[in-house]
Amino acid sequence: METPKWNTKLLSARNVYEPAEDTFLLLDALENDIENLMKINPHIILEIGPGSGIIIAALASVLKSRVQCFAIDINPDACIVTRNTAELNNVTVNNTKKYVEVLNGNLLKAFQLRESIDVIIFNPPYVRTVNIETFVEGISQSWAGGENGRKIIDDLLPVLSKAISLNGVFYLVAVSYNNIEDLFTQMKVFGFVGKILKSRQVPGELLYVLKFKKTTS
Amino acid sequence: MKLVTHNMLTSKCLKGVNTGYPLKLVVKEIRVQSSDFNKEFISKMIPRLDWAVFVVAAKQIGHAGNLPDQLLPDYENNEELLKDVHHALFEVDIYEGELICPETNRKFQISEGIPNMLVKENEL
Ligand SMILES: C[S@@+](CC[C@H](N)C(=O)[O-])C[C@H]1O[C@@H](n2cnc3c(N)ncnc32)[C@H](O)[C@@H]1O
Repeated sequence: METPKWNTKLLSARNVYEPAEDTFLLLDALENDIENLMKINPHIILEIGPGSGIIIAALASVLKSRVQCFAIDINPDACIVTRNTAELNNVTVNNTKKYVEVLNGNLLKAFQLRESIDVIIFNPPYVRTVNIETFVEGISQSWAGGENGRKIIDDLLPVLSKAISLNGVFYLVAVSYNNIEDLFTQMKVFGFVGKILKSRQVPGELLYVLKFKKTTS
Repeated sequence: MKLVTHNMLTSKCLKGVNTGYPLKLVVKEIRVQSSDFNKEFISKMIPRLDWAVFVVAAKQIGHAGNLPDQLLPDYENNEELLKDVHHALFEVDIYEGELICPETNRKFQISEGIPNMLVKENEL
């Protein structure tokens, strides 16, 4: 997978999360896992919190007309930048463009849950903060995660199995103090088996990319 | 916003709303852009759609082609049908417009192709 292009000027003018260590770890993890991803023959892929949009743009340009990609961010500026990034990296086949459907919204709250999404990807706001209510607008929403950095993650987990298709997968970025073991335990209750796909020590943080598979029983 | 997205969206997170589906569509500007037709992909997408909702929306925006109200059983082999589905689902972008909650009439703006589905704390 090629590292996608993005417009740095637009990104900073728009107050959107800049691709950072966590972004590139996720990109690496997805690149390593792309064959497995292809094996489940995904048709619908959703990234929650695309920020700059480089993750979903990279996937869209690899998977081309075989999938429909969606991206939903709570920050309207991130939506505009994501669409721009998707266009910048658009693969053109026979003069036609592949696009990413971009939405402004909160997690899966606006979606009908009908077990139809094959892949969900989320690099969430995982930084622990004392009080999440003080971080309600713009850029702080891209990192502020409340107690143990789990507030937004825990909001999403209970509905995942109703959104993800049989054989579907969920990729999640997390940091050690999010309590990785507990994430596995929680997800098991919600019908998923998890594993660590990649981890990396970066200044001040031990980052993980986790992969969860929906279990049939 | 493409019709594929409209087919998946609901306003049921609003306080007092039961299904919030389908959202009513108000179209102010449409942009059409052709995209790659992939037969296998379209046939795999069909079972994931609410077909009736899709056909009504496609007719409303004037891009339904010959889409039947009821899905025929051997649609995988019907290339004409698959092409009509592809067009209505993926090539027509609702660039400016509104989505409206069928129960409360709460409006969600679609601006430059991006629907704003955010709701305030006090609407939940
Ligand atoms: C850590 S950034 C990741 C951005 C990008 N995916 C990347 O890897 O560089 C988290 C993103 O999630 C978005 N976000 C935060 N809370 C959200 C929510 N409840 N629903 C949707 N997106 C959310 C933020 O606006 C931000 O763009």
